[in-house]
Amino acid sequence: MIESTKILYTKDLAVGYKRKKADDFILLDNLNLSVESGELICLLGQNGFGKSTLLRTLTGVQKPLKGDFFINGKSINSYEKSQLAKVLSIVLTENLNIGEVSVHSVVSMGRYPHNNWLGILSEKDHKVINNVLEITGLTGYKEKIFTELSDGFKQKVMIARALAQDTSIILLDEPTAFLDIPTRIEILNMLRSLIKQFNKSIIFSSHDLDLALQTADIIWLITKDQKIEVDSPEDLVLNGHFEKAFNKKEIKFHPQRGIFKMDRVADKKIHVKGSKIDVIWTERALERIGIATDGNENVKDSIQIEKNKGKLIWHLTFSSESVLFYSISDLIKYLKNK
Amino acid sequence: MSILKRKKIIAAFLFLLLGLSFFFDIVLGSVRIPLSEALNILTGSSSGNSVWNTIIIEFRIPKAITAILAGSALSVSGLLMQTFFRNPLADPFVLGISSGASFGVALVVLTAGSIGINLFFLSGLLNKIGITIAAGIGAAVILLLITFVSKKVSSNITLLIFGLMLGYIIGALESILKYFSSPENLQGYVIWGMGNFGNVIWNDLFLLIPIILTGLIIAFILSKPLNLLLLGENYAISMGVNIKAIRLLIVIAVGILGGVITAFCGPIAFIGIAVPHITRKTLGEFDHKILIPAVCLVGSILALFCDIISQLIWHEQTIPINVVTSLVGAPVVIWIIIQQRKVKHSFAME
Repeated sequence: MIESTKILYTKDLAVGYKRKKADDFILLDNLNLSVESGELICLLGQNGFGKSTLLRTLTGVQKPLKGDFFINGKSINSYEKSQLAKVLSIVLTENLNIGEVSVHSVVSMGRYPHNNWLGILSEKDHKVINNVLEITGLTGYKEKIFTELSDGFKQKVMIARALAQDTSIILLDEPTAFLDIPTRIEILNMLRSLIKQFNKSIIFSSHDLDLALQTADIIWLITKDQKIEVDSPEDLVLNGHFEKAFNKKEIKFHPQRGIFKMDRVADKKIHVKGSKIDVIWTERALERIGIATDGNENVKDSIQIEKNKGKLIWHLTFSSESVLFYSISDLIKYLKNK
Repeated sequence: MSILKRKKIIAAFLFLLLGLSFFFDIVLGSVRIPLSEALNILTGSSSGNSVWNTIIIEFRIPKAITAILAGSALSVSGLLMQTFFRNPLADPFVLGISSGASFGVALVVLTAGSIGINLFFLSGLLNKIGITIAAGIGAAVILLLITFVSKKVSSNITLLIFGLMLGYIIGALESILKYFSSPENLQGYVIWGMGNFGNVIWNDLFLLIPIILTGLIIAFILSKPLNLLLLGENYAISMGVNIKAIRLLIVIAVGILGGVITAFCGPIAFIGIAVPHITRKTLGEFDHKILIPAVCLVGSILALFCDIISQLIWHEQTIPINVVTSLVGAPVVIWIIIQQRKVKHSFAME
């Protein structure tokens, strides 16, 4: 492939910190990454492995220790700050409190790299801003005071601002941190649809493995040996890189479900029968209190889930006792005391 | 009523207020001059009483113009510092910039006799240029120091405490200078320290006006990057702001505005901190290209108002301007602290 068709690529890039009285502290070395237009890339890795450092380097805030990277075929070193602002925008985690500034005003700041020295908005600027507000679903909120919004809305406004900046690449540092789960999904869906509509390249870092697995086209996975594995999320799961990168003593990656679970040693075993969904949730509750479930019907203890007049009944046979329960919580309470 | 219309009405009201306070600052004073006579003098038809004529033309008009310059300069430097440090309590006085300027002045004034130049404080343009430069440098040095420390400490409160401590250190050094200076120099310095708009004569204004205008113009040119700085340095950089150049320009502007006014009028408390808050609150505005002219207006009005009060309390005498600005400004600062919870919204205060 010809390299210049890529929006961004790195060449033997090393990131980390310069130290005064010691050698440079390299976090990630020999990176040869590339980003094409329309790609949603998620940067994953354990804390302290260089996620933020890599992002900071790619935004041009921090200098690479070695190597170079290129945006639209041009080395980062030959970009003026004002030029860079037209090709690359960022969204940060920091919680902003900025006084009585309206949503519209924050978004319109995204136009500053494009307008005159006083920041007066042109007709085109207004068009772009209104369009961006529309797409991000903020039109009805444009007169609201930014500081008074919820974290999720603030994040949306900052993304809208980055969109108004009209760059080919958007970098987001932990865009879902501090948000509740529905809002996380909303934000990631938004990124997904932006990729589709504008053919932008988006790179975001995240802690949210399961959501990242669902959303990203490509994952940059920081491994324990200071490298980055680049692949689709599914490939990374199947080839075991995921497990290697994240497994810790008591936490194991669960390849079937794509999530991490507490790795507890089960001291009891139980067999659960019933309709599929009821069994799944009952098993989850049992797992939590350290009871493993067993597919073998011959296990001595068992739970039979039945439906009676639209209500669920858990029929427990345990150490040759037989008890009925009408909710999982009662069942768990009982088993905990055993 | 649309927001724009409301803002226009407020602007018109502020201009009216400025005109009125300028007028009353000239008409009222320790020497009673009848209103009709004062109007005559102002409109150019000279009054029969040449003493009144002199008082108004040579004393009160330059004093009122100085109040406007000082009010504008201090308020704008307060605004710049509040935005730059993202700290609602920042202003030249609080963070020790005025102290730096004072120390510059002290060095020139208090050592005057000892280096063989017999200068009576605040007489002669040359001395004033020297004092002005010393004050400007003193202010800029402290500001650079504060900027440097602000990179190291994350908490705004820590920065404020640092500024206060710096003020104490400079105060102590000043005391040493005072201890060794001659009585005449000391007296001049103490009087200067109380603050006064009335020390400025027409000749000084030819120096003062262009300098302050330069500082205000630099500030106005910075309005776009200042707006972006509201989002924090990282966002500002990502939108193309050359942070080093902007930081330097802010230091220069505050050095000029805060330092020079301190040199001419003495250290004046609380205007720099109070006016940006009052203005933001009344206008509901964040955009610096509107805020900067607006704080000039409000700052001028407040300075003139304080000057009027300082003239009126005693008939025959005036009280130091610093006393009045403290009485008017300090409650505003207390109000800010009480509203801290809300202020936290205005700035990222840890």
